[in-house]
Amino acid sequence: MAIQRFMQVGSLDDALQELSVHKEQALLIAGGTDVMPALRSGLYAQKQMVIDLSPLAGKLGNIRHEEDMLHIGPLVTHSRIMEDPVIREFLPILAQASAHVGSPQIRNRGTIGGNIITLAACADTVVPLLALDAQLVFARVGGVRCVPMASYLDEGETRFDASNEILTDIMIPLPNSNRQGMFLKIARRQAAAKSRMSVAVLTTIAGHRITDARVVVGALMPWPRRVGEAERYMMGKAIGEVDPMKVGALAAELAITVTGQRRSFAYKIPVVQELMRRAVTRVLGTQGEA
Amino acid sequence: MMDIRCEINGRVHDLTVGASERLVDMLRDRLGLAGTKEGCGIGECGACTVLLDGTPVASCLVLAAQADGHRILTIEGLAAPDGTLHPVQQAFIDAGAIQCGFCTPAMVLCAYALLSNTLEPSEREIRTAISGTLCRCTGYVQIIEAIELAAQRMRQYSQ
Repeated sequence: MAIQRFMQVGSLDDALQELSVHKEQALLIAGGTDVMPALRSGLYAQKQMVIDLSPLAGKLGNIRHEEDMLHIGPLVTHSRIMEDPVIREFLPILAQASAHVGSPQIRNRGTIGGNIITLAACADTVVPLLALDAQLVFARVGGVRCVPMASYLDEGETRFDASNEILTDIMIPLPNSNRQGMFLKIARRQAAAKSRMSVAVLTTIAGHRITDARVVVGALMPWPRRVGEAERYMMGKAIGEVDPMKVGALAAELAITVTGQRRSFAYKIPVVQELMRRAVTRVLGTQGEA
Repeated sequence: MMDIRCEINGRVHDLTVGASERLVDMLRDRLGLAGTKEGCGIGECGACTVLLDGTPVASCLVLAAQADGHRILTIEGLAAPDGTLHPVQQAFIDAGAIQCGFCTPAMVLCAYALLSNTLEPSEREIRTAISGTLCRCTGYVQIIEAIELAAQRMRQYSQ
C-alpha cells in the first residue's frame, strides 16, 4: 500500500481544502466497510493519503426533520437508520433496506453516504432512495450542487468527482398521504451477502386508487433503475385492478432491455418477477386493508 | 506513522501506528491481543469483531488510526481482573458452545454487546446479534443456548 499519511479533519471546509490540494492522491474514508477491503486489494495504488471524515459526525452524522423534508447526514450508519423513529414511521422502506445491508458489524460502521458514493450495483439503500425522490447535496470548495438521485445514477461514470467534492446531505421529502412501501432482497444467505436482486415498491393511494407508484429494481443492472412501464401500468388503477405478476414481468423486461440476455437470467428473471409480485401484493394488501 | 491514544480493555494506550494499519493488526501485532482473530479480512466472517465504544465492529475494516480517542473492548478485557470469567464466557463453556474456538471471541463479544442492551433478548434478537459472525463447527444452536443461559444468569445476578 502506498498510503503515507492519515489525516483527520476538524471541519468540512478543512476536508474540502485538503481534497482540493491532494485531489486524486487523497482517499476519503468514513465507515471504511467498502474502502478497507479495496485498499488491501490494491485498488487504491495511486492514493497517498487517507482523509478520515468520521470526526465530522457532529455535522454530517445527524438525522434532521425540517418541515416536510428529512435530512440524513452521509455519516449516518445503517444501524442508526434502522432505529430512527422518524425514518421508521415515515420512510420504513429505507429502514428495511438498511436492515438488509451486510451484517450487524457492517451496519454499525457502514454509512448511507458510503452506500451512495461507492454505488455498487447491489447498493441496498440506493433502491429505496430512488423510489423516495431523494436529493443529494455535494459540496466543493466555493460551492454546492444538489442532484436528484435519479440524475446522479444516470450520469454514469462521471456522476461524482471523488477528487473534488464531498457528499454532505441526503434530502428526502416526507409523505403527507397514505403511502406504503416494501423493500425485498435476495442474496445467497441472509447476513453479510450482496444482493443478487432487490426490489422496492412504493404506492400512494387516494380513494382506493393508486395516485402515485414507484417501482425500482436493484442489483440486476449496473445500477438500480425505476421501472417506468410498471409505474405507468399501476397509476390510476384501483387496488384490485393491478396484476402483481404484470408488474414483475415489466421489471424483468426492463432488466433484459438494459443488459441483454445473460446466462444467469434463466434463474434471475423468474425470481425477480416473483420478488416483485410479493412486494406489490404486500404493499397493495396493506393499503387495501387501510 | 501517527500517534494515537485510545482506551483498550479499560487501559489508556499511547501508540504509534501506520497510516494504513488496520485495527486488527494493531491489536494482534503491537499489543499481542491475539484473542481477536482474522478470518476473511473483508468483513464477512466476523472473526475479528471487537467492541468500539460498546458496538460490535469488524476490526479488519477499521483503520488503527480511526480508533484514536475511542474505547475498544477485546475478548481479553471481558473477564474480571482476578480471572473470573464473565457470565457470557462461562455460559459458552457450560452450554458446550465452543468447538474449534476461532469464532468464539467474536461470538462472546456480540453476545456481551446484546446483553448490555437487554437481558431479555428474544431468540430472533440473539440470532440477529450473531448473524455477522460465522461458525464452521457448532451449527449455532449451542451458541444461541449459551446466550440464553448467560441472559438467564445475568438476570438473576441483577435482581
